[in-house]
Amino acid sequence: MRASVIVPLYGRADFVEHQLVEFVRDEWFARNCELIYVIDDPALVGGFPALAEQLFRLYRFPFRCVWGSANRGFSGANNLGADRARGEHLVFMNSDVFPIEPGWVAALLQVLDEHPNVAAVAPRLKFPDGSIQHASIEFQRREELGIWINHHANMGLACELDPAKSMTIVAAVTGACMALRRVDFEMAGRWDTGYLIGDFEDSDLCLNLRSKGRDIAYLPTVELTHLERQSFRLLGHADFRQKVVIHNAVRHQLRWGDLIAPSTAPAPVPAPAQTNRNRKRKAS
Amino acid sequence: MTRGHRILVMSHAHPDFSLGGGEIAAYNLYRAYRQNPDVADAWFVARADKGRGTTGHISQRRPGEYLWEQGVNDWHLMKAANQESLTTWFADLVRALRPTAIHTHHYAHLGLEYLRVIKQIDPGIRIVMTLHEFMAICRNNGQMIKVGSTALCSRESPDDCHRCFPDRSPEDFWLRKQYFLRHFELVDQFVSPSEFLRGRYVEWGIHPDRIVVIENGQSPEEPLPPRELREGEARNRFGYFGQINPYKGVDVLLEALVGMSKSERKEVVVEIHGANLEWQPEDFKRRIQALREPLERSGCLRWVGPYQPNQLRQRMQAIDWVVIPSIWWENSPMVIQEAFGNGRPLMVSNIGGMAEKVRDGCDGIQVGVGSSTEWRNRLLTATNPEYWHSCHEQVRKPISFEECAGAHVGVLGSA
Repeated sequence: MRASVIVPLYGRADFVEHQLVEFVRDEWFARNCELIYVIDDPALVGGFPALAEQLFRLYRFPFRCVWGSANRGFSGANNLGADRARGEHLVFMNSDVFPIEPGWVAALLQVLDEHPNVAAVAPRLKFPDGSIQHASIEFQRREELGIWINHHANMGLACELDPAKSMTIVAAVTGACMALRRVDFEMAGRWDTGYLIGDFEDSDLCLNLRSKGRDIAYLPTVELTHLERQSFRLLGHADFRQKVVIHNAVRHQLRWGDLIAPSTAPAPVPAPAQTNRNRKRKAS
Repeated sequence: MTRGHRILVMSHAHPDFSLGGGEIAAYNLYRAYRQNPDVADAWFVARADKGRGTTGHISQRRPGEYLWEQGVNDWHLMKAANQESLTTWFADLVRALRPTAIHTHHYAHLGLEYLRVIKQIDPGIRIVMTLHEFMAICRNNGQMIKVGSTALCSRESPDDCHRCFPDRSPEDFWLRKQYFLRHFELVDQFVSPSEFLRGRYVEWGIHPDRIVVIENGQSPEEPLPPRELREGEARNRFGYFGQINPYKGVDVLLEALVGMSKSERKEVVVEIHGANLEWQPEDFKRRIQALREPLERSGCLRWVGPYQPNQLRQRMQAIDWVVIPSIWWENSPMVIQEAFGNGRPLMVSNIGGMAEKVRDGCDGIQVGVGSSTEWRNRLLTATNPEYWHSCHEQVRKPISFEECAGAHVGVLGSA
């Protein structure tokens, strides 16, 4: 088994059919991958066996369902999926990410095959309107809050404005669609479950791998559609969300501060003095 | 031809129970397939409602014809109500008949899933789909009209469609289109009765090579003689034939009569051979009623009422012009071909499938869509017998059932 594609489900189960309608077009996927849905929402458990039966009859595309008796969040659900996975590679994928063309898993794995030092690779993700949703993550300082946040570079812009034209080594990539070797995933200690329902699990894993001397790759030649945050809408109000982000960001920079700060060049004149000042502030 | 095609025709309704243009075209084609020398066998399966819900049961209507108690319970994604029967009874039917081709006429009321089921049973079965409206493109009942207005719409996008249906997010509309496109990939050949509808679907995402235009066939009868005129009489009998609903523009036509002076109204007679008004929204019914009464009293309007298909020819005998004042695009309204087949020129709205099929100043007249003033003016000038005569002379005979089936068999290729 070349890869296990692991998809946590929270809030909506109807995305499963929309993903199957794409996966079923991909012969390589069908031959070389297993598909695992991790049910991470008690509300979805009851109806899922009937849905799974109905979808299997229509699509004849096998998949496994894992339910771990609790809502574990992004990291916990993905780790549970990894427990059950049999592939040499793991592809973590959100339920609102949809392939555009067949062959996308094969292309991501090819990067890992050809670049032994690359530990994680993610494709370009596009909004339904065709603009950039994910073209790698960089870290940006939010001075008023004293935190570093994850910045989705060039989000909303036309894809031809993406400076990356081929595989590029980057600071971090999204967990909405990320491929790793199983051994590297275990070596990094899996998804960190210490973050609240937020964003930072993916960059945490990337930084963890980088702290061990490994590279993170962004592959703009493979594109999928991402209906970003369709399920997050269900979670709390804006001020609550912001507090969660602050909590996560502080945890993130306490763990990986040295790797976060130098990766950004926010000043118009990237003088060495400014970088030092940033570092100092970071350390304080 | 040693083997010949084995064709299962599918339709969203059976004309025994429902008289829409799509199901009539499907049924006529099924019967013409049976007569075609290159077709070894043909069957008809129509979705039907037997008053006990979407049981998924399949039953025999008459030899070679089946009914399927199916329906749609999710119009956003066009999902079949009875999922169970797709891979059980429907699959049994397909396996037992062993068709080489399935010619389907719709997805409304049937859902989209059956396309996938057919290909799973046998990927070699060629699926031909005739498109009758714009339901895949437009969530608003396939009308391509903005919800809550009569504004014509000419393109879909997640953001545009969300504005018509605020309870659905733009992402939901993206998912809808993607779902339709992936199911339409399973269709080997699309057929459109009009260039206009073909163009809309090509713009939406069907590759131009995958969709051909074949007009619906008609009964091969000879044209009717012109209505006999008394001395000095004008060509002033206008007939409306078809359903009456807010998109069909019958109110525009009645307003055109209201806009005439008393003496002008004496010069024209409009006959409404219309059905299904009783099913329309209350405010629309009231509006039609209010327009209709004074016009009937003045003698310029005759409310004749619905007709059976076999009565149409006789009813067209008594009129000079057939009118189609629709305020939506239409595809290829069957009444255009019927009018031509009976030797009657037409007056139609100047958009979409109507503007394509009726040549302005040649075999008919195109009138500004939705403009009761222009309809008023054109009704009055169309009564000129010489003008009518020149249009009448240029009416072309529509293709017959037999020619239509032949064109489809040509598309299917060799058996």
